[in-house]
Amino acid sequence: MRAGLIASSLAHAGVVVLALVSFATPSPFDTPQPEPLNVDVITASEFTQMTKGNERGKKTETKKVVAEKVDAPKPVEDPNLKVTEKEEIKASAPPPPPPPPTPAPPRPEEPKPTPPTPKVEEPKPAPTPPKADKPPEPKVEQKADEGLKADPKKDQQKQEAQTQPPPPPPQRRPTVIPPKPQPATANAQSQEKFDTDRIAALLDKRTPQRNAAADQQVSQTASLGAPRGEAQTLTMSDIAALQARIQSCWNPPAGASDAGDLRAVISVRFKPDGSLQVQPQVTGVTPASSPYAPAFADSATRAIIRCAPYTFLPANKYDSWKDIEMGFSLDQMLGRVR
Amino acid sequence: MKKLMPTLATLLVLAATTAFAQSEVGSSALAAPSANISLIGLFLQAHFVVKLVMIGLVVSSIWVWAIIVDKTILFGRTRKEMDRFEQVFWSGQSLEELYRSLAGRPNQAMAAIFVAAMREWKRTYEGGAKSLTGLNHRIEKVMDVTIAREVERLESRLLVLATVGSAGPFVGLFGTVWGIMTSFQAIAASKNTNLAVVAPGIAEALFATAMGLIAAIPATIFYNKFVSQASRQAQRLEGFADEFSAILSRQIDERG
Repeated sequence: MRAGLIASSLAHAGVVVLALVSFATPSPFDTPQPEPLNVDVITASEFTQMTKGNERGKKTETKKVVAEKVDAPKPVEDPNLKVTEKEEIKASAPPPPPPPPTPAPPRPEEPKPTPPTPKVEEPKPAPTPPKADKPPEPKVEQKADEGLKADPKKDQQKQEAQTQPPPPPPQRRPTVIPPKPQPATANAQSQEKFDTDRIAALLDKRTPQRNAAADQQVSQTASLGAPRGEAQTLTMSDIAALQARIQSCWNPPAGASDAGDLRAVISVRFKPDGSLQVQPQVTGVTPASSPYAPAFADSATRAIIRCAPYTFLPANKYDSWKDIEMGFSLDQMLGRVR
Repeated sequence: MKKLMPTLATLLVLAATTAFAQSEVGSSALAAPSANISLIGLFLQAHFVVKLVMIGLVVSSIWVWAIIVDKTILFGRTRKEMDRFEQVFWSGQSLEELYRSLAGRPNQAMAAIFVAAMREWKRTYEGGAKSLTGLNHRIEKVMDVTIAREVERLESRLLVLATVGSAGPFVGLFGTVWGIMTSFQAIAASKNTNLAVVAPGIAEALFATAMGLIAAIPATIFYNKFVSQASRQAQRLEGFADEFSAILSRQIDERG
C-alpha cells in the first residue's frame, strides 16, 4: 500500500506542476478594440447653427483666386515694357492701322475721311448730300477739340472725330501730326523685335504689373459639418416663443382633482404661413381614466386654435415645424414633446 | 492502513492551515477585478469552503490512485501466484510434500486454501479420530472461510473507489455552487456587473467541479475493473476449492 501511495503522491505532484506550467497564464482573448466614437459636446445654439456637410470634410480655406484684373498701367522705365504699353493704346483704336503709311500726312488722310463719311452718313440720311453736311460738322468738331471735352454727340461723330481730321486741315494738323509719327516708329521697333519664340509673350497684352486680387468664388468641396445638420431645426428661442404663445391662450380647466398628473399630447399640423392645416388631433391623454381628461385635452386643443396664426415661426424651417406634437401638462405648463 | 491514517490527517491539517492563511487574501482578492488567473491563483483566491473542497478532492484523488496502484499490483501478483500454484498442484506432486513445502508461508490465496484444507485433514487423521463422517463437511467449511478471507483481501478498499467515484462530482459541484454564490455576493457588494468582476469567481468555482471529475472518473473506471477482476479471482478460488474438496472426499471414502 505504501508503494501505491508514494507513486500516487508523486504522480499528483507531477500533474500539479505540469498544470501550473501549462495553465499558468491563460492567453487572453484577442479582442479587437472597437473604433472609438467621437462625441462633441456642443451647445444648443451650436447645434442649431450646424450646417450640412461632410462630417470628415476638411475645414479648408479655399484658395484665393488671382483675378485677371489689370491695374492701371504705370510708366515703366524698361523700354521693352513701354512698347507693349503703347501697343495697348494702339489696340484701343484699331481703325487707324490702315493709315500707318502716313509719311505724307495731308493727302492720304483726306481721301480716307471721305470714304468713311459717306459710309457713315449714308445710313442716316437717304438723300446723301455729304458735301452739304460736311461744312457744319467740322465746325462743331473744332469746337469740341478746342474745349478738349468728350463730344456730347453721337458715337458716329466720335468716330469721325477720331478718324477725321480732314476738313479742318490747316489748324489741326500741327497739333495732331506730331503724335502720329511716334506710333509709326513704335510699330517699326516692335516689328524689329518680333521673335517667333516669344509669340506667347508678345500676344500677352497684359501689363506685367497686374496685381493679384482676391476674387469671390464658390467652394466646390463639402465644408465641415454634420451629415444631418440642417441648421433648419427650430432653435430654442423658436420653441420658447411657441410655448409662450400657446401658454398665453391656454385656460386649463379649473378644479381638476388630479390636475398635476394630467398630460395631453396634441399633434398639430401647420401651413407654411403659420396657420393650422387641420384641426389639432389629441393623440393621447393620461391618465385616461380621469374624468377631467377630455376637458383637459379640449382646453389644450382650444388654446392651439385660439392662437392660430403662428406667423412668427420661421418660414424657412417649415419642414421642422409643419408637424409638431405638443405635450400639455400643468406641471410644466407646456412642454414640447418632439 | 493504520500507518496511513496519521499521514492523511497531517496532510488534511496542513491543507486546512494553508487555506486559513490564504482565506483573507482570497476574500480581498475577490473584490479586486484584476485577479491572478493562473491555477494556483484561482486556488488562492477561492473561498475557504471551496478551498476545503478542493483540498479534499485532491487528497481523495491521491488516495484513489494509491489504491489503484496497489490493487493493480495485488491482482497481477495474485493471478501469477494462482497460475504457478495450479501448475505445481496438477503436476502430480504428492500432496503431502506440497503441504510440507507450503505450510510455513501460506501467503497466497490458493495455497492458503490448500494449506487450510490439508491441515484439517491431517489433524483429523493424526488425532486418531474414530469417525470420518464429519471430515468432508469440516474441510469445506475451512476452505469457505479461507476463500472469504482471501476475497475480502482482494476487494478491500474498492469501496473507497466506489465512494469517490459517486460522491466526487457532487463534492466538486458543491464547491462550484459555493464559489458562484460568493462571486454573486461579490457582484452585489461591488455593484459592478462587469464580466471581469464575475469571471475569476466563476472560473475558480468551476475549478472545483473539474477537480471533482478528475478524482471521480478514474475511481469509477478502476472500481468497475477491479470488481470484475476480484469476482473472477474469487470464482477461480471457489473452483479450486471445489475440486480439492472433491479429491479429499474421494480419499475419505477410499480410506473410510
